[in-house]
Amino acid sequence: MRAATYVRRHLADNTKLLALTFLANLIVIFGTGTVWYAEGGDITLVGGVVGALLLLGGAMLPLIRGRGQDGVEKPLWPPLMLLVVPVAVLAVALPAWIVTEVRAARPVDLTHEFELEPSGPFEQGMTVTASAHTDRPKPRLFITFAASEYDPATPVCVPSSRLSVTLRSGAKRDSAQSVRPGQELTFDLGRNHKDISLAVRMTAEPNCALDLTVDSARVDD
Amino acid sequence: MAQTHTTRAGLALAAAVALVAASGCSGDDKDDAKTILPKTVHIATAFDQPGFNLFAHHHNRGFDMDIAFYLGEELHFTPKFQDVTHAERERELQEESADMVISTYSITPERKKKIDFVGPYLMTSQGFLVRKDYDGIKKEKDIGGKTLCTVEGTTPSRVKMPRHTVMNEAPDTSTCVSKLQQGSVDAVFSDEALLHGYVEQRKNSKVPLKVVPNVSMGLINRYGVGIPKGYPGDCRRILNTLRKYLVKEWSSDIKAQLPSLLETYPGDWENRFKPDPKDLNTYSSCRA
Repeated sequence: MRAATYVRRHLADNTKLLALTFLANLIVIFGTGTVWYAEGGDITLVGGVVGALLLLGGAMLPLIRGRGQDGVEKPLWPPLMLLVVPVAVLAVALPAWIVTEVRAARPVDLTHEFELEPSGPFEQGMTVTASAHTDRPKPRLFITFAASEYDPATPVCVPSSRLSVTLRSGAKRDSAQSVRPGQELTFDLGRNHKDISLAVRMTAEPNCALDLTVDSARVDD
Repeated sequence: MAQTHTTRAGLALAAAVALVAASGCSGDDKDDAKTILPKTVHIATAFDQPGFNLFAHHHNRGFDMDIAFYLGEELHFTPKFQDVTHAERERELQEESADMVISTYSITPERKKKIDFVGPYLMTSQGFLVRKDYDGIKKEKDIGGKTLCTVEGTTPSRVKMPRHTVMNEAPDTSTCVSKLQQGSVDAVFSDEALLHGYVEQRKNSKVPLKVVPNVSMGLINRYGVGIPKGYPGDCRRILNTLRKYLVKEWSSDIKAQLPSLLETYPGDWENRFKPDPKDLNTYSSCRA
C-alpha cells in the first residue's frame, strides 16, 4: 500500500521519469548503433538512423510538456511516449542481431563466387588462379575442383590428372596440396581474410586439355 | 482374437515386404540376365589391321583376335567376326548389328555416351610411321611442314598439328600406308601400337617401314572392348576376364603379334603399352 502511494507520487512528477526514460533512449539508440557499426554497417547509414532517432526522441519532450500545461488536453504520460522509441528500436534490432548471429555461425557458400583466370582449356603444366571475395570471412576454406574433358571426342584424360593447389593468401601460404579432381581440399585461411586466392597447377598425360570448374567451395569455422 | 488379428496383419506386412523385395530383385536380375553372350557372339573388327586383325588367306591372326578368342574361351562363346570401318563402330553397336567391337577402339567420353566400354586392354601414344630410309622426323618440332596421312573419324585425326603441316585423310590405315610407300606423304600418323603392325607386315616389301621412336603427338589412347549399352552383367563378366588376361596372357600375345614394338622399346615396352589391371575399374563403363 505504501509502495503504491510512493509510485503514484513519483509518477505525478514527470520530470524525474522523463530524464530517466530519455537516458534509456540514448543508451538503446547509441548501443544499437554501435553494434550495427561493429557488425559491418555502413557508417553513413548508421549515423543517419541514430541521428533521426535522437531527433525523434528529443521532439517528444516539448510535445509532452506542451500538452500538460494548457490544461485542455490530458497530459501524456511521458515514460510511455519516450519508451516507444527504444522499444521500437529493440523490436527491430534484436531479431536482426539474432538472425545475423545465426547466419554468422553457418558456413558461407562461395561456389559461385570463385573466378578462374585464365579461362579456357586447362593444359598440362599450366597454372590457373582461383580467386573469390567474401564479406563474411571465416578461418577455413573447403573447396573441390571438378575437371572434364575439354574435347569429349578425344581420349580420356581426367582419371590420370592431378591438381596441385597452393594458397596464395591467408595464414599458411605455399602449402601445396595434391589431389585428383573431385577430391575436397581444406585450407587454413587465418582470421579476417576477405580475399582468397589459390594457384591451381595441373599434371596430366602429355597434351591433355581439361575444363576446370569449382564444384563446391565454402568457408567455415 | 486380438492375437489372430495381429498375426494376420504381420503376415500381410511380410507379404508386402516380400513382394516389394521380389519386384526389386527381378529388376536387377532382368538387367543381369539380359546378355549379348550367347553361344555365338558377333564381333565387329577391322579386317585389315596387321598386328591386330588381319584376314589374309583365310587365316586370322592379331592381338584383337587373341583377346576375342580368350574372351570366348573364358566366357564360353564362339566368336564370329565381321568387318567394320572405324567410322561405323558406334553405329554397329547402337543398332546391335554386332554384339561386341574389338578393333583398336579408343575409349573417349563422347563414345561412352553411346556405348559401353570395358578396358583398357592396351594403351598407346600416337606416333609416326615413315619409310625406313627417311630421317626427316627425329623430334616433335620436325613435324611442321610435313605431309601426313591419318584415318578419318579416328582420335589421331583430331590432334592439333604444328603450323604448315599438311594433313591427308584416308578411309583406313592401309590406304595411308600405301601412300607412304608410294612417296606421296612423308609419314602416317596414328596410334603407335597399330603402326608397329604395319612395320612387321611390310618388312620384306620393297619399301620397308619404321616407327619413329620417342616422337609422339596428341594423347595417350586406351583401347577397350565396345558393347551395346544396357548389359551390365556382361560388362562385369568381360571386365573380370580382361583383368585376368592382362595378368596371364597379355605379354606373350604382344610378343607374338607385335614384335616390332618390342624391338623399338626393348626393356620398356610393358611400361609404355600395358595398362595397370586396376585401370579397368577407372576407365570401364562398369566396375567389378
